[in-house]
Amino acid sequence: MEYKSPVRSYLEETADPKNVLVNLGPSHPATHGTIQVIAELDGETVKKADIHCGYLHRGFEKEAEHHTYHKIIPYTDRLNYCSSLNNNFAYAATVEALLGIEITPRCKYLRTLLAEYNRIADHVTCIAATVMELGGMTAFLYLMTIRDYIFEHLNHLTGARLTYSYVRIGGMARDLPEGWLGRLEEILQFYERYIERIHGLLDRNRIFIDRTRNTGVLTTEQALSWGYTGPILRSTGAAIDIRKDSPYLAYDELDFEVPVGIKGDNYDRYYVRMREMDESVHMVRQLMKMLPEGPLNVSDHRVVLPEKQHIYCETEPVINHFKLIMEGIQVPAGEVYLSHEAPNGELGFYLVSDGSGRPYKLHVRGPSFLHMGGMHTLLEGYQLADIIATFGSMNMIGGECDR
Amino acid sequence: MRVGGVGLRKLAPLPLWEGLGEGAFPIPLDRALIENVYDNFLIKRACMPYSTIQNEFNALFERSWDSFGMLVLELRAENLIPLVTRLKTELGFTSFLDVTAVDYPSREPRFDVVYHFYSVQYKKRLRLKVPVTETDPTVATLTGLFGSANFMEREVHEMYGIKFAGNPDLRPILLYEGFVGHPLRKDYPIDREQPLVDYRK
Repeated sequence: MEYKSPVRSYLEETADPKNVLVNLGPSHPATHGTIQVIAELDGETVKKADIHCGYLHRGFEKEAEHHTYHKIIPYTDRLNYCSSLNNNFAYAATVEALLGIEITPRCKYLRTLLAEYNRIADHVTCIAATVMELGGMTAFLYLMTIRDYIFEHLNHLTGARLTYSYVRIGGMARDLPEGWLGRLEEILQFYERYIERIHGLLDRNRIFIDRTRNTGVLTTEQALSWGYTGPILRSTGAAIDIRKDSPYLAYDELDFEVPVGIKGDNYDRYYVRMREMDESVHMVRQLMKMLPEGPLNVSDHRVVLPEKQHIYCETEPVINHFKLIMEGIQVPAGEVYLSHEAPNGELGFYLVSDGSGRPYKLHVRGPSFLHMGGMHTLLEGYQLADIIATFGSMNMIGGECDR
Repeated sequence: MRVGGVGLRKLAPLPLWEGLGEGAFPIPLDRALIENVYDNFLIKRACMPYSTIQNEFNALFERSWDSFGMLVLELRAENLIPLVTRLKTELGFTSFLDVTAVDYPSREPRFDVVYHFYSVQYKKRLRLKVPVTETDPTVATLTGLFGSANFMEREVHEMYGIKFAGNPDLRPILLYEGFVGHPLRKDYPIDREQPLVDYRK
């Protein structure tokens, strides 16, 4: 039986009969993530590129309209699955804004700490994958070691290695276990020891520089026009960071810098990510000292489940529990757009509520989707092999791109 | 030698007049005055794009309101391009963040096309809402002004059936060629399946 190809490229014929069409992906051994690049080549030079995404589309927005607010949290984990906590916190902050809830100080600082901690894991993954695709196996293994320390450590806290679902509307699932912060300091020291080796392996490595310097160059104007945010925009030299420009959580109390690049090529994107991880470590260290004692969840019966011992003994907590589980949180009618600085860029949630227990509309502005929208400009004019380096440094995450 | 790494962190820069000692400036600096002027500048800058939009651009939109600190403008479809062009050139809204639509099946006009912009200059966000009818769900494309419009308009086109007049490339992007209907409309049932390859019997 014959099936029509689901993909119609606008490059079905080449402009010049000497040129050839090359199809990369959606599952190419030298890339990570499911995306298809159809490139028109003149010799080894890419003349035109057409990017196809959607292979990981699972209807997040349609599903969200049929779930209660708490049941959406596991779906948000799977947007950018390398940094689930950042997605969790952005989503929870959006719902809390509409509910008018102010989270407790301990929760605020803990969320900031975990967001930065997860940012390290995300950047480590991105650099590791890029370097491995360029042939740097040692750096890949060192970086994966750090990542695994972080994942095991977050597993201790949340019960999952990758998809944490740790946030709750108005608080968190549980408080820090015994000795967690002590182990955190140990892992940060591991990080520093390993990342110094990465600097030594890559920063002045002739092969790495030849592959990444002056490939995939981007100007600030181009980056803004294509809706780029995050490390890719900052690698062009523009210090645009939501954490500085409109601080949320506890970022206005922290001391940190916004690292920028020089000319927006692949090497700059690598280096901006490396420097951002250092800033995150610096922030995590500050937050460990700032973390106050006190309750983690707000005492608001509209959103937080009552304690188990009350549910077993009293009537009103039983009713409260039943209503929260069966009907969900009742979010007042209104609309809000809230964005956090996720590791890849601006992660925005646009929430429209009609006052019921389910969102009327929940839209995600995933940074990767926008990054793919302009990626052809970074490929055209460079060589076929540069597609691998550029695609790696863009850090496309299928879950977030295709939603 | 240590290359990069944590050792590269620099200390936060000191204000100019600190560390220079007494008498470093010919005129004694009045710190309170300077801070006051600076605060006023910040307040003015903070209100700047929103007050300008409300005072000078008011011919281009129908009504405006505040939504959690973000200015929202509701406008007619024909005013979209003039308004966005002025926002981009005069107030630095150079980043087109997001476009989506909201479906209200019992309302007339049925759809709201919702745009989000970010002003790099003033560090402010802005939301535009353009109501369109079910019979003629057409708005002008923004691909001439922003490259990012291309992918996002393709998504809204396939998910809601909104037509972006002038966009040359409205192929499906997250779905596939031949998908029937618009899945994010409220009248599209969540359990309707259209597998591209038939399920194994």
